[in-house]
Amino acid sequence: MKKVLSWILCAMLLLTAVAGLAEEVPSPDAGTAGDVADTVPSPDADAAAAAGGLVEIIDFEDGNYAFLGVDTTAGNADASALEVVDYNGSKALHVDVKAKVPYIALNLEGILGENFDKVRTITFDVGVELGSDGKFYAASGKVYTVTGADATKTGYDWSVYLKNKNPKTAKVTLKDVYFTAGQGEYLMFSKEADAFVDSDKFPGEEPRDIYLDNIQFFDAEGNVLPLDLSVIWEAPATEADLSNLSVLTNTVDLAGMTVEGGAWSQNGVEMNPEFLAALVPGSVVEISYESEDGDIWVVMPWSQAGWIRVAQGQATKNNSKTTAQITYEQFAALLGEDTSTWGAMFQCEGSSAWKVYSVKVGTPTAKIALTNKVEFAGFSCEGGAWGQNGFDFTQEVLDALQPGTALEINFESDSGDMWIVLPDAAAGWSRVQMMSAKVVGNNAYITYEQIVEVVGEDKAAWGARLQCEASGNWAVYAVNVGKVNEIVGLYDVVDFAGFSVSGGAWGQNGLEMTPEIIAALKPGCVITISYESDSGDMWLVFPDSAAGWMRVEMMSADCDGKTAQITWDELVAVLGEDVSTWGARMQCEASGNWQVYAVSVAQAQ
Amino acid sequence: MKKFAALVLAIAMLLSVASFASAEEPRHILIGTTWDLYWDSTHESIDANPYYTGTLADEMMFAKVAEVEAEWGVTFEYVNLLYAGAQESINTSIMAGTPDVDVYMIGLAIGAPAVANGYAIDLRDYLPADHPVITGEDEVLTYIDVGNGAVSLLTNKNKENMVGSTYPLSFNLQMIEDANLEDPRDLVEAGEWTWDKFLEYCQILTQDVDGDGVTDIYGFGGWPGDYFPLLVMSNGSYIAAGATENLSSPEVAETLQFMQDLYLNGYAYPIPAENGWDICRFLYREGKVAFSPNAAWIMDSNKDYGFQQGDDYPVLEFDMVFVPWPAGPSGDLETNAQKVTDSSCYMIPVGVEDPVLVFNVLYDILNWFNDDLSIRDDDEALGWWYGVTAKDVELQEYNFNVMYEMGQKQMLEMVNNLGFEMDLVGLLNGNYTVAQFQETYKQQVQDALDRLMGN
Repeated sequence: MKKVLSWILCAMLLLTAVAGLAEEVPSPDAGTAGDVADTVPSPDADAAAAAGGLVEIIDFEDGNYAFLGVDTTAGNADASALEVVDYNGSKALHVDVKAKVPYIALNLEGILGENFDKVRTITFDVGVELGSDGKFYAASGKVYTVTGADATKTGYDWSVYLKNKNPKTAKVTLKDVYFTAGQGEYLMFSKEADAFVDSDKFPGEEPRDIYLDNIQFFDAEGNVLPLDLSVIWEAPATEADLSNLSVLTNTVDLAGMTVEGGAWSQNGVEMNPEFLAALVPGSVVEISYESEDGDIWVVMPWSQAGWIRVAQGQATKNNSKTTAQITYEQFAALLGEDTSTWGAMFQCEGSSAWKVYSVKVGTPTAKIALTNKVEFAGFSCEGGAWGQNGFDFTQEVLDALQPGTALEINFESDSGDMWIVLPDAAAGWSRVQMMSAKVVGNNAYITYEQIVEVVGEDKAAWGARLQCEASGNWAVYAVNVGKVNEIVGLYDVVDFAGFSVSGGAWGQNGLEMTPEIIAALKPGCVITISYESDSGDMWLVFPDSAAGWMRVEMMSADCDGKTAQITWDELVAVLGEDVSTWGARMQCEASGNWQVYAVSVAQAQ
Repeated sequence: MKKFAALVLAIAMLLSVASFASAEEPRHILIGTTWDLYWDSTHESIDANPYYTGTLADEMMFAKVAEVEAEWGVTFEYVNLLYAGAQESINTSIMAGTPDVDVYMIGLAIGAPAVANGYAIDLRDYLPADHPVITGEDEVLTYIDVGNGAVSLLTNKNKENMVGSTYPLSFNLQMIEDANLEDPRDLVEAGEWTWDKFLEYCQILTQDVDGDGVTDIYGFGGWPGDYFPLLVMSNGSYIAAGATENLSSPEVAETLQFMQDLYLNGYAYPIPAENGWDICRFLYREGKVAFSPNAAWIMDSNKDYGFQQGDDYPVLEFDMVFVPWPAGPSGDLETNAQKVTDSSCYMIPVGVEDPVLVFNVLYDILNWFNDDLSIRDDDEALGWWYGVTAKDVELQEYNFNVMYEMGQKQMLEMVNNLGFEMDLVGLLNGNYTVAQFQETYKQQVQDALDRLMGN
């Protein structure tokens, strides 16, 4: 008891003394050089800044957080909920994490305006929700700068690792990579590691939430940068998600097919003749849509076969569940080969509320991505219909043209076609792939093998010049050479449940194969891996196979940086045809640090 | 002035009370980790560990907690800092003179830079020079040399930790016998296992068996990335073990030249243009090489000797025998490092109060088996390590002991963690001279080391 009294006495004395002392010591000036983590903006400075519409700190005291948002574009992104709440004695941003990695993006260019490129140091308070057992568990994440035309993410660690330092002020100092205005660059906070989840003691529980507060930005001299928090954050525009899907060419729209419906209700239009005519063997119907549960399918109510649902639960969908594809063969299996018996009405339906924005039919084409790309420097020219134009081969381009590679010609032409001409070839003035080169989007592809077929393997006999040509007026913007990676569209997709794993460079990680996955591993199948890796590559490892610890397609799988595919034939070449000997586990691996978001087994379209 | 005096008085009283209080409170030792560890003073029940399996080892580890508390008058707790947290903790709290925890249990990727930057105590400054941990004779703990001789990074000396990640040189015993060559094991024993002898053997064992002018069996074969650092160690050196690159050293030059000569003289299986790593991994099984780098996990994955596969499982018709890598001209068979360490390690940060007490507590925790090595290194638990490398029990034991001996001579080597690969295949194919190769990569190695060491 005496001890307690002594403590109280001391504490009172200390508080009294400190309170008195504070009156005599001037508060530090806000925004001066020095240890910025300890800098606290004085109320006066803050008020002065606010008078001009600017503030020096993001403290969420007014409840506004419209200048930031949850970025869900990454494959492992969490759809976290945001709100401003009372936390640690003031308002703070509460990030309610649901399952995966939250990315909180700021419209920093709008917030900082002309000072955007001056940011060198960022400080912020971060706190971690306690475990459901009331104990502290460490968490860590990153502050990302997203910069450059290719949206390069550069990460800086933050961590809250001790209970007596939760919450804490974190500080990151940017190195080498800084912001540039006008490039669509931005800043993100993430939370990526969570000792609560990692402990394996709380199965089924959500990751711990985090709280952000008192965010400040400083220039190289340690001056705090003024902030305009009246700006709005808008979700970044992203390229179309074509995961699992083919690219369609020669497409024909189903006119007027912008409709919606409730769960289990149908809505649609009568098919226009052009659309019906394009429904031929090998074609694919593509539906642009959204629905609450991600599913969508087709109903053909007037067909001679009766009121028929097509591809219910079996349409191929992209990972973001915004585009679905159904093959002609899936229609024909239920409706018969003769499209005149299918009936005119084409409807969509879902098991939850749904909207369809468009429907079209076309010819499926594999997506192509070049890796180990070598640029044909300066190849930019134009020509009239059936006119040729081009440049002398560079040695770099000639060296890069090897078996398995292709020329990628980025172009526009009135006729939609593009090919090459080798005017000085020993075999004579030669066209390669005239009106038959593969075209995907704005790129035409001509393989090394196609060139060799016309002018032979001896590059010395190809002549000095490479020219382009088309049957309409044309312009070529760039030419590259690289390894051809073909990513095919899929159907009968079987998702590998729970396959979301990561690893370091040359590290393996994976899961035991489920009975569904094993059943789907059959001739014609394709294993598709949705991933990111520092090195760009990705392959599979079967550590328990009867053939031994086996890598499949190490550094040679078809990859586009986001999707890797390994075919049945490639699997069989290493593991043999008997799937029962492939062992229990399927693992992923890459030559750089990697993250896999999803794996599926399907048939190629 | 009065207020200031009051503050000083208050602080003095507070410290006095705190000191009085701490005399009654046992010191609470924190062990920072990057993963969850059990058991410690916060665990009231053995079931607190979700991975508890009821083994004798489990029971002893749990009982050890109370024994440590009683012996040293402390309590202790494992704290999972996570990887980023451990890094931040080391880089900030130690620098500030107030380490967050008393011991860090971490991977080498964090530990090596920490030691290089002077953040860990050197136990030579605190323990007697003849302490078994310092002399390397202790059976509980050993230390990892990061190139400066400091006894700072401690690691468990249990057999599994030692034999793990060892890559011995293996040879096809029947080929040696058929060629009437002296058994390399005897050469090791006699201290005559050198590069010159190895080269001589490779030359003899390289054969055109059917006389068609094409080599059928090569003296040596393997993936260069797997054995390059081991061969450098066998020449008494390293490539990237400290703050400064050593690729450009004369010892590494000797090693590169030795490797290139093996290939250009035709004594080593040519590296295939594609799938080289996979193909090289199977060469010894297919009888295409006499010597090859090997590892228990490789032989297990290939099920060479049918461990736990049943009596009728097909096994290799020849024996693969492990030996250490031969000594180069600048190396010494007795002192060469023989394993690239990848162990997790313990370090006591600079600034910790009473580091000798902390060391003693840590040592006692890790000595949960009370010096009974038969419990820690239970033969049954180690059965896999024995069973996968040979069918003959005697050879199993020999191979295991080679791995164990190699494991006790481990050192840090980061050449395979630099974030890029050197074109060793190109060197072996004669695309570079050794000097060109060193010149091509030395700055890249240095830049990578700077990054890894936080310079």
